[in-house]
Amino acid sequence: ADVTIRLAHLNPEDPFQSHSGTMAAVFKSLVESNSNGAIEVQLFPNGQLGKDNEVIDQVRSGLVESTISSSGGMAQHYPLVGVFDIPFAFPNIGVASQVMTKESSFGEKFVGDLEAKTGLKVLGLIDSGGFFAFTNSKKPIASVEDMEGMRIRTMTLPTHEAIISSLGGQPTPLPWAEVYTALQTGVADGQMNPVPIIAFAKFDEVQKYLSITNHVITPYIWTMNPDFYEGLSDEHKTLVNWAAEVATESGRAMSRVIEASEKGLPLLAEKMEVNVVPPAEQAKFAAAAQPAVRTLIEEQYGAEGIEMLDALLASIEEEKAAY
Amino acid sequence: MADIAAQARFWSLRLNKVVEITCVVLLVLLVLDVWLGVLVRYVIPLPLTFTEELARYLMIWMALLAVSSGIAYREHIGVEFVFSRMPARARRILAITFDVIAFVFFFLLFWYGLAFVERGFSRLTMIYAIPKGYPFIGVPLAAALACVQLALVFIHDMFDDTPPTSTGETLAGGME
Amino acid sequence: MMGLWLVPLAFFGFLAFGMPVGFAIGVAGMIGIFDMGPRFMTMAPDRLFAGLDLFPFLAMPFFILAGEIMNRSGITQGLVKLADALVGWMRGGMAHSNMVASVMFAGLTGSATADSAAFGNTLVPAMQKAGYSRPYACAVTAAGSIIGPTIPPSTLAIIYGSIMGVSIAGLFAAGILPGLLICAICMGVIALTAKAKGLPKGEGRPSFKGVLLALREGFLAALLPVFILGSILGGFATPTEAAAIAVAYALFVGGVIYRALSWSDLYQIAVRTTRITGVIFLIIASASILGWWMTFNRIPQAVAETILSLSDNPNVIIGLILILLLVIGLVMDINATLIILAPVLAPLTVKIGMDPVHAGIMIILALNISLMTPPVGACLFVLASVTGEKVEAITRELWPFILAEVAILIVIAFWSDLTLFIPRLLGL
Ligand code: NA
Ligand code: NA
Repeated sequence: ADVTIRLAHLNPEDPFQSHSGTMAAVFKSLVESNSNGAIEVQLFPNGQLGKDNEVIDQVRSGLVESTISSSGGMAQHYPLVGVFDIPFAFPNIGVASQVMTKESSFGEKFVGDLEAKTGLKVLGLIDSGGFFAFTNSKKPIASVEDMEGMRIRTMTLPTHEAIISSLGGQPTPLPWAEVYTALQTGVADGQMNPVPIIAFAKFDEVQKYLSITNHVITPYIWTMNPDFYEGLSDEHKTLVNWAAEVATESGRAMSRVIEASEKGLPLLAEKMEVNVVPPAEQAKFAAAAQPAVRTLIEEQYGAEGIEMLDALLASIEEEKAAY
Repeated sequence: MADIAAQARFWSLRLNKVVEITCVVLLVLLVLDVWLGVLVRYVIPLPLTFTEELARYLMIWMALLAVSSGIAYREHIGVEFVFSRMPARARRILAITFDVIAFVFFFLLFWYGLAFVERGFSRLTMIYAIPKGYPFIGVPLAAALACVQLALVFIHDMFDDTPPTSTGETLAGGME
Repeated sequence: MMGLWLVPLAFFGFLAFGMPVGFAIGVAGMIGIFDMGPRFMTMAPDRLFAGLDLFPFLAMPFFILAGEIMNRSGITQGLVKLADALVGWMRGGMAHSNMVASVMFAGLTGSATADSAAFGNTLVPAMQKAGYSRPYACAVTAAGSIIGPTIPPSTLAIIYGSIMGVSIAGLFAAGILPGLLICAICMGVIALTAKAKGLPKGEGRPSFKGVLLALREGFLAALLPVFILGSILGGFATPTEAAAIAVAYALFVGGVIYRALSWSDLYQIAVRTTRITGVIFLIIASASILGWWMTFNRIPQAVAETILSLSDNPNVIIGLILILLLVIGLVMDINATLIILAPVLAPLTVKIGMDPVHAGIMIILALNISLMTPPVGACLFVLASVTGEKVEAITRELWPFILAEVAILIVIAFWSDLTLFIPRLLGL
């Protein structure tokens, strides 16, 4: 092959286990076959080249060509990604799928700003594989009151900690490597993550209750080194773009498949007691948590943050209306 | 000649004392920080969420700075089966060669470490959004200290009357 | 790509002639990165930093610190007397109790290097006082240290379970018997060689009164593991934080109850802890430079494909997998090896009909054994650094244990019922 694209991501290589795996596999297949082998795509799954914030740095400096990263990793390079931490903003996954694309009115603004500030080229924007849900070992979370005193593990993210404390719980930030054991021994009562991650991390083995609250949904962002991209022939540029687009759509669909299949909710429902928080109750969660996070976003990112946040909320309203 | 060796040793220990005290301070902060992390969860529920990230940076700084102490006292472990069976002259040459190679290694770490730090200023830590460049400074700093110690050890190996018997032996005859 | 042969040549060459391990690994990694092009050079400082940027690594300096405090304040001596009263009458009694202690400690640590650090700093000096040679005491400790990550909790099992989609609870349960078996076979080795080695032996059977007296002296020390384990199982601390709690306990007992620590003692203790940590962490950090070069150039996969293409016979494939893991484990960090090789190896084990949990335990155990094999074994280096013993001297005493553990590994690899007995019992 004349050109090599090294594509790194955090999740397992198996295309049926995560959206990143799907995206990488589809992209590799499309690009390699349609370039007649002129482009080779090498996959580096499981964070082999480093943690996602580190690999983004490797892409920015042109050592690695492309990566699919979580919002947590991107936050170190583009802090405004934190606006997605506004809780209970999306009514359902349909609207989230519409908003978290490069093409939505918000997506265009967000991608444009991210590209301008980091110099990266964005190939795709996708949700983290569904809404965050709560799991815990104490009781089903059905109302805001149930959160009282609950020790919920979060990432070391001020916004996520604010969500928990504004709901009356006690945020317990712990490194990812220790979460399974911490849940097993009771250092934390519960944690929050999207369903595929809960299944992937085997938290069903150490947690009893899964409560679907639809509280947060964050993006995964697929980026490429801009100099590498500019160095491609026009033909190859087109190929990379459409392959990335198809791959992202496949990833979006795979998230839903995983959620619906024995790798997602049905699997968890076998081992955990699942409850869904009804919309009326979700509104109370929103009322309790949104103002705190909004204040935090304003404190951390200033006027720029609020402007980006309002653009996100406007885009959500727009898509809601279109439904 | 032995004079020069003694001088090199003197400055090596002087510099090391400063590094040593810094490392001890970092260790104390590290222990207090992790205790605090456990305490805020159970005893005093304060929203202190920086403890985990701070612990990692304190640990890295402490370990990296201590690398130069390990050089000053020749405590970096090697497999010395062959080395210890070499004649005195060969041992001296080998030890000096290793000093030079290690010097180049740490110098390159220092040099490219500066660019690494500079790039780090375009990234933010998770808590309080402090640029990552600050924790990254530990790498070129530690590498520079390692270079200075290696240079002093090199002078010592070169001019001391007795050739080194080990690449990992304690020069000062114990800790203190 | 001259690096493909230059890197291993530099690495093994420098290592053989006595260059410190941390330098040799780092230099080899840097040669590889430089060979890829000067623009890659910032990856050297980058990986050096990132290689240490993991919270669980804290367990090691904390256990070294706790051990130092226990030694200086005399807590360890109390423990020695207690152990002596209980098992001293038996030839090699202290070596046996070191093994049993490893099993107990396994319940509170997920990492073999933390185990080596904790025991290297307490039990090795204790065994020396009881008349064992230092290399032998280090070898026993190294051999026992891999019980830590085999019996749950185990960091490797968590990583393996999540990337390969295997039940972590299942892997935890499946690790219990192999962990106990390692303990048993090592105790067998100790017993068989005790006479020939002239291991120390006390006079007569222990008296009830003697045990009681020793218990009074060793009580507070013996309480330490109970205290740490309690803090983990009670949900107060993660295994990493528990190491910091061990420091608090040692400080309290040594400083407040025994009143045996001066400020100058504490300063010396801290200096020694930072210096040992610096030595060990340089090796880890440098290995992460070399590891990135290997990963980027897909070397582990290439080696795996070459070796595994040698045969289709399931038994031969299992053998080849074990050899591959033991060999790659010689030079690479085991977490990195696991992340890179498990996705290559696990599908193969499925193809030859192995149970995923069984295959997982086999892979994890092979990697654990690689931690104590020379020339590059993290546990060896931790022990050498903590005790000041030479790597080659430890190795001379270690090889019977390595052989015994490899034998256990082979039994586990080919007898799946053994591994799966407890998981089946628990319905996992
Ligand atoms: Na364990
Ligand atoms: Na090894």
